[in-house]
Amino acid sequence: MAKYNPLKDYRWIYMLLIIAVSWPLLFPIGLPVPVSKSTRMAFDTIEKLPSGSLVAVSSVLSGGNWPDLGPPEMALVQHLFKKKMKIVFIGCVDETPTIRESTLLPRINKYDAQIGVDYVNLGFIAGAPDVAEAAFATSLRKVLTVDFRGKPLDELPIMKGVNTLADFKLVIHIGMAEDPVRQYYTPFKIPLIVGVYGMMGPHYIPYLEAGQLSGMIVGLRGAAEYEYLVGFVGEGLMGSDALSITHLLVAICIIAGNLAFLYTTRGGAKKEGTK
Amino acid sequence: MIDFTILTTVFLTLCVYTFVYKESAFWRFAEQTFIGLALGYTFVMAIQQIQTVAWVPISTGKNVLFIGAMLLGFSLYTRFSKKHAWISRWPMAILIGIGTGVAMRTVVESQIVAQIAATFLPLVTPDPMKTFNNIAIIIMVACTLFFFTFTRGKGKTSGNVRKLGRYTLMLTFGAAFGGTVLTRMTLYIGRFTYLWAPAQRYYLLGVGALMLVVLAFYEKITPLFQKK
Amino acid sequence: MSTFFRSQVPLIIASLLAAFMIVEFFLDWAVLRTISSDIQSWGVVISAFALGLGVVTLTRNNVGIIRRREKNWPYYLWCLIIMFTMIGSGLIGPLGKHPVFLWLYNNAFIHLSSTMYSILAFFITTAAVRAFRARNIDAALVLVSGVFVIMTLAPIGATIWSGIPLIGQWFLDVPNMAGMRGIIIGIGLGVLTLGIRTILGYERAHLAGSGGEK
Repeated sequence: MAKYNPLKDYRWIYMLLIIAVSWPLLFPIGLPVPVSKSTRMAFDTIEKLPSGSLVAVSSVLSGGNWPDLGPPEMALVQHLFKKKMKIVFIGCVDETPTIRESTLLPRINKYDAQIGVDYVNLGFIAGAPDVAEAAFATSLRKVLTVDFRGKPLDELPIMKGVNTLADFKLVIHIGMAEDPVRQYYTPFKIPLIVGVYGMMGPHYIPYLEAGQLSGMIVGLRGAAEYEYLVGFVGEGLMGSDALSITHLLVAICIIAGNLAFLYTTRGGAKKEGTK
Repeated sequence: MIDFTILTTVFLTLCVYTFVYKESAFWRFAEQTFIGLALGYTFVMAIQQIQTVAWVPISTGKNVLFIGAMLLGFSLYTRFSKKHAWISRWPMAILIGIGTGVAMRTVVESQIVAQIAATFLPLVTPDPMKTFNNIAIIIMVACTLFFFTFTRGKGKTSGNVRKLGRYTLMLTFGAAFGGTVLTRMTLYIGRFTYLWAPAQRYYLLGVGALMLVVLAFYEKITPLFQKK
Repeated sequence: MSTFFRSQVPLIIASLLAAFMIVEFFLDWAVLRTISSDIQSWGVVISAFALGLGVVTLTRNNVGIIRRREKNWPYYLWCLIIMFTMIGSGLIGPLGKHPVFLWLYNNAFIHLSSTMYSILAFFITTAAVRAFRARNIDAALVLVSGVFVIMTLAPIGATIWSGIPLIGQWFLDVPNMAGMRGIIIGIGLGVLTLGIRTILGYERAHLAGSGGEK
């Protein structure tokens, strides 16, 4: 039977990770959250829009990606409601309308906005993201006949005169950025803000630098920055301390692993040399 | 008074986390529950989409041509028949055609022209750091594209260009890894924030302790349920 | 004739539709736009039908396992039970609004779904210890860039040393941006190539798996 080697048992690292997350939740540190350029751009874009502008919020929000995409969408939507914008919600996956109704909208301060007049949840459009977004952008009235509650679009004051994406002043997409750049920005040249997964933030910097994006919120960190700018405490700011400690843990693990690797390879080379 | 809803959410969450310890009956239960719920939900949403997009226009007489779309949609299910599976290629071909066309028509402007245009940065600026960065970006983009296009080749110069392209990509992948860590930790923090909330905390500790005891004695318990 | 309907017609359909969608975009004629809208709405309906394929596949698969009493068959039976409970409750009354359906979605599915993804955090941490080694210059570059970006994306980086976010942001804005731009252009060229192959009928991958590969 193999001898138990605690150094090879990685469950100790799992335990460290659990401590790293729970410690800041029990004893908040309150680290400052510097605001990045991409988040500031998104904030300024919405701030400059006149009150009452029609904004489309399309998303791939689902239960699985809620911790990563939920806080950015909540922060952006809270800002839109605060600025009294008219918001049209659309989903690109089947879960989005349900999770918006059950989890997102109940947690937002709507500042007396009325459904059907100031905001509406149009449900989702089936198909690949590119196809669903293209259908929403160009054939809205053909692919959507009723809103998520079942009310015909013709009876909703907010949808009066809205036929294509050209009728909107701003589009916000929560999810990946290539598809909305292709289907929303490129044909219509309407300002596009994206809220993306943390892992995709570095991938989309070229779009930001090329001027195809008017702002980008990157995962929980971006949500924390945005909440700070808007002035409310949401999941972003609540989780930012835990984010810091877990990232520090991963960085320490990488450095420790490499130091151990250097020690073992140098130690092995020395033993070879003595032979 | 035990809140059944919170008990369910905490129990199911911890069932999934037992996978980190070892694969167990809890994990298998959670896995199959997830699959069943996911497909059930998707099916209901599909019916709703068909009703709102196709059935409502057909039944109100606004657009009866959607009957064709519905027939094509039903024909997707012929893929389960060995004799008639070829019929399902037609609706698939429609989806492929639409998807290809929709992606192709804007990809040139959005991903090729705009990106190349954005690479034409000023080589001389008042800020020395910005000048350095601009020159570095232009060189790195060119080297990366060279690396993709001329993966193999002779010559010291082309080899060095490819090497610089490869180093650029390594730095890119490092940054991508940093972003991946952010996402993974975010997903975990989101779950833990929920579990550690005051309403769930005691359920977490109670259910968690019980499951740990069961897992610890799991290997002793399971042979009792196996046929001899 | 049989081969024509089985293989050639789907290729022609895909090819013509792709070409039409591109031409419609650039010509910007009202009549073409109307036809394009109709085609896209047909695509949405067909995609909605495709969403139901998983239920049929899973039912066939699981019924076979249960019949043969294979290992862990009670879990597969449970899977079918919960799936049909979800479907049944979702189809009662207004679609997807039944209290049981919403309870299962909000209190079971969302939590299972997000927890499934969250266990990756454990594996990335152990991978950071075990696998992320600077064995050569390439790996060292990935490592250095990775560590600085990790610490930049967390607020604590700026607290530890003000240089960390500066260096990390430089890695993001210069080499990462340049490399990703090259990748984006490469992907764009790849999408274009694949599209041209589809329009010319060379791309047959979508014909596979639906029986009678000829």
